[in-house]
Amino acid sequence: MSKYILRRILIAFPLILGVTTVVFVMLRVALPGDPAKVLAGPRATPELIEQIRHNLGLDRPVFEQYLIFLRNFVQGDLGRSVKFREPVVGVIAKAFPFTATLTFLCVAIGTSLGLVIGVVTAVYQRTWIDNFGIVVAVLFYSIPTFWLGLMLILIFSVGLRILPVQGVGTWKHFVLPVATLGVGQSALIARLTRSSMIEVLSTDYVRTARAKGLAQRHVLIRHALQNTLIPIITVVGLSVGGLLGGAVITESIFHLPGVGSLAIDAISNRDYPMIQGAVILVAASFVFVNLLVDIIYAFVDPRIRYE
Amino acid sequence: MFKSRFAVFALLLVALMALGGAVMAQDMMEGKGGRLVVADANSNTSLDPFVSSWHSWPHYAIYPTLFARAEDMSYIGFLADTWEVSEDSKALTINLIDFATFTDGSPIDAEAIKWNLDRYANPDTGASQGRDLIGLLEEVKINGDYSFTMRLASPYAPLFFVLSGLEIVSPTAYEALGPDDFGTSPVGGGPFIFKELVTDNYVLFERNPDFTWAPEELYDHPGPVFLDELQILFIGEEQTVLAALETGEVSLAGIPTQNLADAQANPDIDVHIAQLSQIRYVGFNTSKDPWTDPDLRRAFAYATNREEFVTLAWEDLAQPLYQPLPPTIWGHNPELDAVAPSFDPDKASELLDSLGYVDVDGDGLREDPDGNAWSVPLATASPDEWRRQAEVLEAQWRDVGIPLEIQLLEFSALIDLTTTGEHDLFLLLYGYQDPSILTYFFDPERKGGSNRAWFSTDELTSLLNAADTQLDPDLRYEAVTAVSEYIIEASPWVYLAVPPALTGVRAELENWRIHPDLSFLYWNAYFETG
Repeated sequence: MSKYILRRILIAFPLILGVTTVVFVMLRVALPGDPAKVLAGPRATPELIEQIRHNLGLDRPVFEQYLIFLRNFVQGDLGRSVKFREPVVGVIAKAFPFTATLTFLCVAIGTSLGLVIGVVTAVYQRTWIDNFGIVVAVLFYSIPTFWLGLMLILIFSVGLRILPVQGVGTWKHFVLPVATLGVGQSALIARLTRSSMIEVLSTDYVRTARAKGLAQRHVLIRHALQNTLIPIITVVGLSVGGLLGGAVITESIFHLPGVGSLAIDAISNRDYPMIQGAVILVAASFVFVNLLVDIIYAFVDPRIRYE
Repeated sequence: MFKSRFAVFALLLVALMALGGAVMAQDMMEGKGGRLVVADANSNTSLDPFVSSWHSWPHYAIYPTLFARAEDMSYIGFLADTWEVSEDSKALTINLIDFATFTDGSPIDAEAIKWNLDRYANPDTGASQGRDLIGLLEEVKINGDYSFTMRLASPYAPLFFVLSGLEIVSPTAYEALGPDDFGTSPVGGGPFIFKELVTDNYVLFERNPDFTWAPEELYDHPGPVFLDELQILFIGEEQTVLAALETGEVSLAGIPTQNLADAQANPDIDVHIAQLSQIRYVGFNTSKDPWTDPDLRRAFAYATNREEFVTLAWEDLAQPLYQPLPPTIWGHNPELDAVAPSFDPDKASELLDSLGYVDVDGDGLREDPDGNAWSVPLATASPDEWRRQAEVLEAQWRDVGIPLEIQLLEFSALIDLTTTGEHDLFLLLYGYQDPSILTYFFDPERKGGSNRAWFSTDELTSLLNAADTQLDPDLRYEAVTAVSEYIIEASPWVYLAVPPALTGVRAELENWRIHPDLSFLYWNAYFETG
């Protein structure tokens, strides 16, 4: 197992480097726009634009820029933001805890709620509880995030005045963003859990467990639910990876200082170093979470062994 | 003996006056304070004025300037106490107030100002702000601790305008921190001191207790400011801003046009409506065929119904525009509206017919002079506001048979496109407060930069030069009128509208007002703190 983990970590480095290289080249070759022109402002002279390009090192050949980037990258330096002139590593390090907190809360609460709804609707299959659960899950999954976020603000912040509209600082600031993202997450997990549970509940070993006279709770949790966890863990892993890269819309609506809003701002300002930093974070998040998911598989299903 | 008694008496008197002043100031500030929270996404830039191209709330909170503008739009001293322009208009001597200090304790003296001006004027700095000084400022000569003379290569009419926008930083702090770190720990000598920055989210300032040099023409109380803190939130989401204004989390913000009625109906929000010093226009790339032909460009101007445009795109809150300068910029001459092309679809059709753009296949849309399908690409920004404006133009121009093809781009891609010279039409804006803005857009040296229409002629260059070097206000007004007249005739742009500025302010905020240039005068504003 430890050899497997080590091998996966070693594979992660060229993977992240590959992603970063593609982004580095795409930004400079394929994406229209120039950070120097954005920074120079609307009244710039061609000379000023050139001076800023020179100051930022953008007048050097792309290959030379890439070599400089690589040299700094291996030293843990991702450069300075074109727009803010701050070290990218520092800016992302300050933004990441907000995104990580939002991700953790959203996945933990959304998944727990989804599991409960999924199990209950599977157990009460083809009853009004099941029908109601399916309708709610489909509804929650279909609601666009931006619309839900604004509706929650209108109801709980503007209407009832019990939760803040934006910002961070207290636990209250996380309630609406987590609810906005968690609703979709819980609906997804509920649908997945229900279908897996229905399949597992009709298997022979569950019937045998019931025939042995085991309690319903014991049958559901130890025999049925445990065997439905593999696909759920996969989906949760993908959700975590995606959210760690930034829940862009939610962060914008609730004005959270996370990685998502940082990345969007960087893209619109053609802030190359910041975009690269965000991409590296997203790639690393996915690699790390996938590794974690693979390890959890082995714990959940003892038949899975990594050589 | 008498002399020493007199000296003691004088000293006592001065001490009592100082004590009295301090007590009065303390009394004035009693029960006043609070945190002013402003939502402004545009303020989300570096706090280093040598880096940022957009200067807004944060910069004016921490940095003073040499001059400011009074409410009659004349120039008044801020750090400058008295000043004198030489007879040849090529030298400006400024005597500074002698009691202003940066918040690191160093004096705001002639040396400090020289350091700042030299840095702005150095092309290697790459400063967007103050670039007018490059090649213009020949020397800053220090005459004394608080007096200096700026020597210019030529007279420059917008000089006071430029100097009223140049923020003065502490050279001591800048040199100690270096350009890499000054933006995150800025030091100025303005009404507020930098306290905290969460990059891309907000910046927080606290009152500068030593600040007592607010221009008296603008503020009854010269300082310190009454507010305890100022926070600028960089929120881009309009509906979040509005919700935060309604709940009181934000005290001041712009209001989206579509939400004006809601905001006005809210008793907790005071709404201020004005016209921006800004215009929306369509530009042609006059270096590329067929847009080299002024008659073709003029046909588009005749095909544009500005009254309908402001109704459909701005819900009647904007003002129709027929010339390059809006009424909110000095130099606008209302008489020029009469000579500018206004909506006349028959004239537009006549011009297009004469140029060979006729409807050959009878589908209601014109073909090009060779009889091939004609398509007019118009590039603009992707946000809804811009798309709506482009769609109104598309409908209006279709009525005279012009087939428009709208291209929605991100702002940075749009700016990039217009500097390549390969574009066709573009829908954009400019905002400024001095007629010298026209030089930025029609200077031959700025093709590939801010001259996005790629339009210049020798005659126009000489007219612009005359306007920028004429210091007499009446003569300058005539020179600016001549520039506007020439541009109207040549039609490199179709002028569309002057957009509105809708500002919402929480009713709890006391003693504020809005300057005619739309800056928010809040240094004497406060919340009652009981």
